[in-house]
Amino acid sequence: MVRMQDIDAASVDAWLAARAPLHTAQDAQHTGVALIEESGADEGAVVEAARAWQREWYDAGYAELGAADAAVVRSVAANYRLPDLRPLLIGLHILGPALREHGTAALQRRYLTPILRGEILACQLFSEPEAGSDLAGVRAKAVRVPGGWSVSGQKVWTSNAHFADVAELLVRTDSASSRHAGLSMFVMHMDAPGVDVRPLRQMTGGAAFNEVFLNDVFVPEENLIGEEGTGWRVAMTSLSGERAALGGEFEAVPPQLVEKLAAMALRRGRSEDPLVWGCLADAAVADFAHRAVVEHGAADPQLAGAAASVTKLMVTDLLEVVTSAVLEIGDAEVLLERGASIDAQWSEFILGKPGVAIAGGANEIQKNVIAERHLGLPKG
Amino acid sequence: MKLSSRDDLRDIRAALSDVLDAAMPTSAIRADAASAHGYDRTLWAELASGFGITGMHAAEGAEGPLDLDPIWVVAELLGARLAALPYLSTVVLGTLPLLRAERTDAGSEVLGELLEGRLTATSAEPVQGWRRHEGRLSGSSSAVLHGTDSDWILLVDDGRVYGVHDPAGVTREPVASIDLTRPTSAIDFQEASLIELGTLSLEQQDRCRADLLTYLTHECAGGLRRVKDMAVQHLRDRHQFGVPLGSFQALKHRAADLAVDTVTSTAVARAAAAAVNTPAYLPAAERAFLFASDAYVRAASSSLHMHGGLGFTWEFDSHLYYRRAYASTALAGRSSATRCRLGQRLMASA
Ligand SMILES: Cc1cc2nc3c(=O)[nH]c(=O)nc-3n(C[C@H](O)[C@H](O)[C@H](O)COP(=O)(O)OP(=O)(O)OC[C@H]3O[C@@H](n4cnc5c(N)ncnc54)[C@H](O)[C@@H]3O)c2cc1C
Repeated sequence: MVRMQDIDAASVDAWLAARAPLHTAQDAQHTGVALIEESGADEGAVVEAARAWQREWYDAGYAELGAADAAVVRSVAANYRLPDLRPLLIGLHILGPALREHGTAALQRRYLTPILRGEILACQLFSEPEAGSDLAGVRAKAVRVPGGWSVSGQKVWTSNAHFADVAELLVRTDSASSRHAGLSMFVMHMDAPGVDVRPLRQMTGGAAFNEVFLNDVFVPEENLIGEEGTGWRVAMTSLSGERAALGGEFEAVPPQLVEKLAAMALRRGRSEDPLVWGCLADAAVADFAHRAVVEHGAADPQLAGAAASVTKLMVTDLLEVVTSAVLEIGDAEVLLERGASIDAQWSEFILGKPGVAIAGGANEIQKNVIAERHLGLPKG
Repeated sequence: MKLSSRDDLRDIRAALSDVLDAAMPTSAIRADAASAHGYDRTLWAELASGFGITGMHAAEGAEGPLDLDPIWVVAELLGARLAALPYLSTVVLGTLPLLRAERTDAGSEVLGELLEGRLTATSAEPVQGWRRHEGRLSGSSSAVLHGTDSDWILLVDDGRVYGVHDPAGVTREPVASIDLTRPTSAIDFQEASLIELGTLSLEQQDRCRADLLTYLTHECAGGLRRVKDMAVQHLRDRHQFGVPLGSFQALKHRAADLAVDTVTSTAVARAAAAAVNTPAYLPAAERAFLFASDAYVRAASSSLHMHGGLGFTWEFDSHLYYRRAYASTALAGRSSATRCRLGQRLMASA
């Protein structure tokens, strides 16, 4: 089967070769395995490196590609050690798709291009203490004021709010409404007066997400995405972008997991152990399956629409299989505090894993979506 | 109508689906399975010499890379219907090793007959004390696909491809296996005469193994899609507690798991097929098969379970898929051995 492509792999390869090192076997020992970003001392540097990379990427024409070209670029880029690009995820894959599909031309000029170029980093203000899986229960509200809206309420679990420039904000604009109707979506500046970001310490010990309190924050009229009252539709666009990204369009898992496991087995003198071989094979199969759905899932003859949910579920499967292998190969060493030894870095992986199964719509919600929306089983 | 690899894959799929759907309701498959040859010989003749399904992958005279995509289309269709036809044996175990081999004249002649669909073939692997001596073979094989009626039995030994054709010295005995829809035989060779058909390099032998694994992966994906569809239909139709079964979240989530396994098995099959003419073919095919064969067992069990008592009856088809799924895990040697070798190679390249 031939897909139409404009980008050729060789030119992407040449571009990357001039800017990033190839992955080597030794990388497997040097790149980390953390699943959830840490706001460590070097966070500022990580964020700046991601911005700088994205600017060049955009200028080279790689930031806005069709699916087939993007797949070519992705498979070439997988050979290179790129900076940690996770600070860009929300802008590129959550707010970006909403602006592209529902935003006015002016809104796209003002925000979309800078997001694609790494100049604006975004966060996602959807979840609230009373509205998680049941996102239609959002209570934060916006009331009309001259020239725009005034927003009040509380958001929670907001990744990256502490360094983001803007937020995609879901609020209730019709106070008489309930559930899906009466919601609207805005682009809000995080440095606007009345925005109060408080870090939340997560189970890994780090603080990648936050509580965000909104007290009479002014949002100008032109920052409405879509129409007043269409917030739910806009949110659906963002959520499917997020699912696809977390499923693997974005590097959702640390690179070279299988190579890292093999390197650990070598270090630990286990290379002749058939138990280790079995674990490596299981990890390689799960990794292959995950990559295969990322690449071919959307071409499924019946279930193309479910591909994003499927890939997200396959990520958590992969993480479970890798964890079993980690425990077999690394033994108790991998349960030591990160930093105790090279193999102890896996403790970060194990501790990050539950977050992946919850973020972006918990696994149960993904399964409800597949069953009700794509298999046509009764709702509710 | 004769199909070839130049036809659009969608056309091949559509043409064959129609024929198979008309000819092969599962009642027919059950009847075929109970018949002497284990399959419908008239249908096979129609598909082989009429549609040319045994030769679609070989463009005449072309020396270029093999285009196996039509084979994978057939695999999905046959896997979904549990068709008992000798396609896997003739095409995957017969024509592909010969296409990949440096052939003798005899080898080219046999290949021609197989591609034309005039003869059938299978392959046997040594089980008990094989002896090859001066062009004759003695020994036995315990599970040969379509062993009872294949015209040629191929063996690969020490890089050479041999064929057994002369019935003298060959005793064939049907063996009932857990899989009712794949006829299997035990074969005893006593000084059976061997004909040299060609040689296969180690690299080509790896490719032949990858062909088998990729074929089976597509069959699994086809069967998996069918058991998923059966379960979803049942969850909509059957009511308990006054509502469709599909209202219960425990079953919704099982159905979602079937969808995940269907999409993923189809995707790994595509990924293996995309690697056919690359050095990564065997590694991809091994991974794909290990995933899909496992997923098929999971899915066939879960689909059967969701049919309740009906699923446990002889009349209902769930068990045919359940049987096929388990049997598929063993067709390419023990999965645990494939898994072990894969892990060992990963370790060696660390
Ligand atoms: C690491 C991380 C980062 C996050 N980043 C962001 C962010 O940047 N922005 C943002 O807006 N949100 C973010 N979230 C929030 C995330 O989207 C929610 O946590 C998630 O949607 C679940 O909501 P909840 O926490 O309220 O749990 P609940 O909705 O209370 O769910 C609790 C449990 O019940 C299950 N459950 C709930 N409803 C059903 C149902 N109908 N059927 C079956 N089971 C059900 C869930 O699967 C879950 O296991 C993040 C979360 C994590 C863990």
